[in-house]
Amino acid sequence: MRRAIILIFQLGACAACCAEALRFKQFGTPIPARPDLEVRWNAPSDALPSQIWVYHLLPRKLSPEMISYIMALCSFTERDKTESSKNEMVFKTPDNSRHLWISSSGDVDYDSLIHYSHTNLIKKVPDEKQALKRVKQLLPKLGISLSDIDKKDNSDEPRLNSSDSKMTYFVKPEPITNTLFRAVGFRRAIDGISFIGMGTGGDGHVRFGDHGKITKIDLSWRNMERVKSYPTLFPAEMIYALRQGKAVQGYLLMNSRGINWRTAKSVTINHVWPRYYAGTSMHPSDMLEPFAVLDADVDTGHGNVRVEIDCPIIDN
Amino acid sequence: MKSTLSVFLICAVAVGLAANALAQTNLQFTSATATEESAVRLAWASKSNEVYQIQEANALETNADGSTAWNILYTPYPSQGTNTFWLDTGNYFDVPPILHPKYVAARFYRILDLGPDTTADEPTVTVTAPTNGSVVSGNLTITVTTDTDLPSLSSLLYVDGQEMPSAVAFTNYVENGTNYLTSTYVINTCEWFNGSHTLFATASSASTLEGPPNVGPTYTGHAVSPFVQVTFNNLVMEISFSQPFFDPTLGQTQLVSADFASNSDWTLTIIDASSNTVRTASGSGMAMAFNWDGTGNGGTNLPAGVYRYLISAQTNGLGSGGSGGSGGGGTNGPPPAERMAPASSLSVDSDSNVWETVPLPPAPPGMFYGTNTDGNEITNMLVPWYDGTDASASPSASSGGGTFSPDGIPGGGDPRAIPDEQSAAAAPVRPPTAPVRGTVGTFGVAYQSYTGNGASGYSFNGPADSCGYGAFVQLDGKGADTKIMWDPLPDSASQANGFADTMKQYGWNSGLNLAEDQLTVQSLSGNGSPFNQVDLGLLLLHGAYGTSMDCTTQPACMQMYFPITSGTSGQYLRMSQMNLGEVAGNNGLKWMAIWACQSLYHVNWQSMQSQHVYPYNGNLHMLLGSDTVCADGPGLLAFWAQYMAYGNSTNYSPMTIQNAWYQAAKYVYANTGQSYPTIVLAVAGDEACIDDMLQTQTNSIPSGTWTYSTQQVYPPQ
Repeated sequence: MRRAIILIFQLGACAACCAEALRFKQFGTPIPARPDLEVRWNAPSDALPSQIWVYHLLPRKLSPEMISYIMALCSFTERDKTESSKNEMVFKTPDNSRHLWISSSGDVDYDSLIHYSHTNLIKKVPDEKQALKRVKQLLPKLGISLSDIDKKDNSDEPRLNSSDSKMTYFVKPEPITNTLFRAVGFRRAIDGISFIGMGTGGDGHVRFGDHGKITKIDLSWRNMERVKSYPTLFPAEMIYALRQGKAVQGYLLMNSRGINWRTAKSVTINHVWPRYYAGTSMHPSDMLEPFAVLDADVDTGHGNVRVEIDCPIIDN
Repeated sequence: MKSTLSVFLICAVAVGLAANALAQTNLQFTSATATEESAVRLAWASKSNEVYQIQEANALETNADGSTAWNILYTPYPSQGTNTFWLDTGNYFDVPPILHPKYVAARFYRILDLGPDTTADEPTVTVTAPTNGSVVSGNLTITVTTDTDLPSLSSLLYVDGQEMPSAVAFTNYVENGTNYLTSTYVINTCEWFNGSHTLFATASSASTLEGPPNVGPTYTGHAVSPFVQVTFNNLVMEISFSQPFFDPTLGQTQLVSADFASNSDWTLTIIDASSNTVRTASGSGMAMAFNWDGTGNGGTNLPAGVYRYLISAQTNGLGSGGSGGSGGGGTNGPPPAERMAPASSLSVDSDSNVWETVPLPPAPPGMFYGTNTDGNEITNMLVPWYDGTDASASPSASSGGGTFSPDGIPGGGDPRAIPDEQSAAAAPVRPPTAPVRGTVGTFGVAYQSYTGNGASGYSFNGPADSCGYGAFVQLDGKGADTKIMWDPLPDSASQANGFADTMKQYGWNSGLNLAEDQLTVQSLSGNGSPFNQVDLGLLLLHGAYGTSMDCTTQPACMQMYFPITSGTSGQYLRMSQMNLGEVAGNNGLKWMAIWACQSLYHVNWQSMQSQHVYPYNGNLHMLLGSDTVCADGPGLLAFWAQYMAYGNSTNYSPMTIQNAWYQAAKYVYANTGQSYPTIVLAVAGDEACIDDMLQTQTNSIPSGTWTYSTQQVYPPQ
């Protein structure tokens, strides 16, 4: 993972706390305490495990063979190495059009400048099926087991998110639309629980561009060790936590009505998922801590608003 | 009630004018003093839990009706108890900036009492590190802890009454219904004189959540921490700069100066954003001054950008005196700092506050002392007395605050602890100087939060349809001939401020700031848009796309619409009304972002293009927006600024403007655990400018061929 930078602006990011020693942080807005808030739990009762682990994130040392493979994948040789220390290795082309960064903790960042125009169109970008196949082949060579990838709902298939980026050139006589790249993203899951966040030890993506060449790799993957197992809170305890102001509200779409938590009539929790979080790439944590994502409908008194509520899942 | 206190450079006027404080008769200055750095420290009798606003004018009665045109210098500023002080070092974030007092011949002040806090549940705030009486040097990490029972909480740090840059890190969490915020600040103590300095923090709380809109009143609270007296002890001290910003292309230079606690051999190293050394200078003496012309070693040209200054020194055993330096430019050190005499007398006022009389420093050349209201020449000033040992024995404010000492008594500190050798951390950190060489660029921000009708938002008809299909253009499937609801977007202000603060940090000047009703349809219509005068524009508001043709353009097309409200009503800005891009010259609008749902909806953008309806002229490089509905992730637009201006790692590696746009959204949206609809952002731009960066040397001249691209930013990929 790239080293965290010091932010010089205050982001308004908020966090909630589940205990003194372990806290989960989450972008979001604190939900004020409302002991009288009516909360209905309609989520399936078996959606959460009975026990859940807190993990310690550790560096993932890449083997020399793996580093050689990544260098070859990105068309670099030892001669392209511009920096090498105990913390990182950096490879660059002389014109800075491509660079590869490998950290001692096992994170990889490869980027290449794409040259394209309406007279120099990008060709043969893999379709979704081809891209998914290549990523499935690639990940084990990067030391990532497909079994560690978050699964699709009700499936053992890894959840690989694929999308493309298209460029339309408004030229005469007809506009030209060209696919610039196809990206495949993935997240880690541990004990069946997926990570959220970016660049904190459990996510990555790969882009395929002109003639299927890899144009970007962004990988943050750590080793982990178990620290302690905690019993999962019961729904009633999560409701209590919500009422006590220990939860935060996730994002709202800009076209949705807002929520005034002080006057909200009721909350109906329709689904619940456990998630893991290790801070942000700006403020990373070495601790991988669980929390609960509640998919809720809030009756604001003026209609229902669907919203994510992030809530403590353990009490230590 | 009106009283006047005049000192050199200063005419201080105390008038309680706030509507809810007209009856206040005890609002008066207790002192107005010039510091050794020619900043002005104001102190006034205050009430606990009140909030104040400091205003300034460079002359009185300048308006045609004989009134004075006051400018807001600083607001809000919470009371420190019965006596409140604040340090004027200018306000360079205003447009136009309010200069540091050392640059103006006279300045008049007015304090407004904005009234008391509206919550009885005040936040608490404490500077937990360093502790009172600490002796510190180099970079100083300051920890501020705050808490409140209200949802919104923030803190600010002050040194000797001057606000410092934002926290470099913070932790915010809620426990048992209490909202806790721990903020970490870092200052470079080498930017002050050695001696005693006063640290304190303020906290602000509010009942309004940052994210969703609220109904009902917003309750606010403020608090001031107890003062913490620390002693700065450095060999390298008072690193200072002649300019807050400087631009060599305008013939400006940056005079970098510093004092040394002992005669020293010194080296100045100027580094760029990538930590590469671009210029060095050295010399010896009790002080240094180097007048940087903005070039690199050997006179090489350097690009505009972020440059920082490192000063290292080693004592040379020569005692006081010595030569200034050999770095070029002005080689004489700055004049020796004025020394404050020991307290000559102590007095106790009717409120049992203890005051000491301190002589004013000598007036600068050409300046003179003024007179007070009795016609007597001001020859000394009163400041609350502090004996430097026991805060509890000194006069203290009833809510927060405490005692303060004259800032930076030069030559103070503990000689035993002053190092013989020191490499000062990179400067400047202390405001108002920004570590920027050259005019990097100007930006403009405009936003609406649609809160003019409280939580109800706005409801008004769609854009008028001149095609004859119906009364109104149909918007995004919302139905024709019906009133359309536009809910509040309370996050707009914080998004706009986060973006602006970050851009300023990287040397961009604010050239336009239109908040709420200041933003009108005319602000974005035609050639006269004020956005066309800045390099980079950001507009935050609601957006929607039409699903029926719009005949206000010929030929007709489908396009995008942006509701713009004024007071309790609203109207629509059509995208076709825009004519974005610089109109003449080389310093106009190149990049414009519209942070609004579907601001660049692909179907309608294509319709506009096919009908040759362009919201830009030939000089615009890029228009950034969204193809879909988007979500207001906290800090998203601040990340955009950060990624464009610096990058997303410790190494200086700025992204292209469009890549930063996409990456900021991906980064923020990655922190959600629930499934949202797919969010796709879009960028339209001239083909030659697709890879534009803010760093101007890499930009291209528009070719005339426009492009449109999209990237999915959620779900993450």
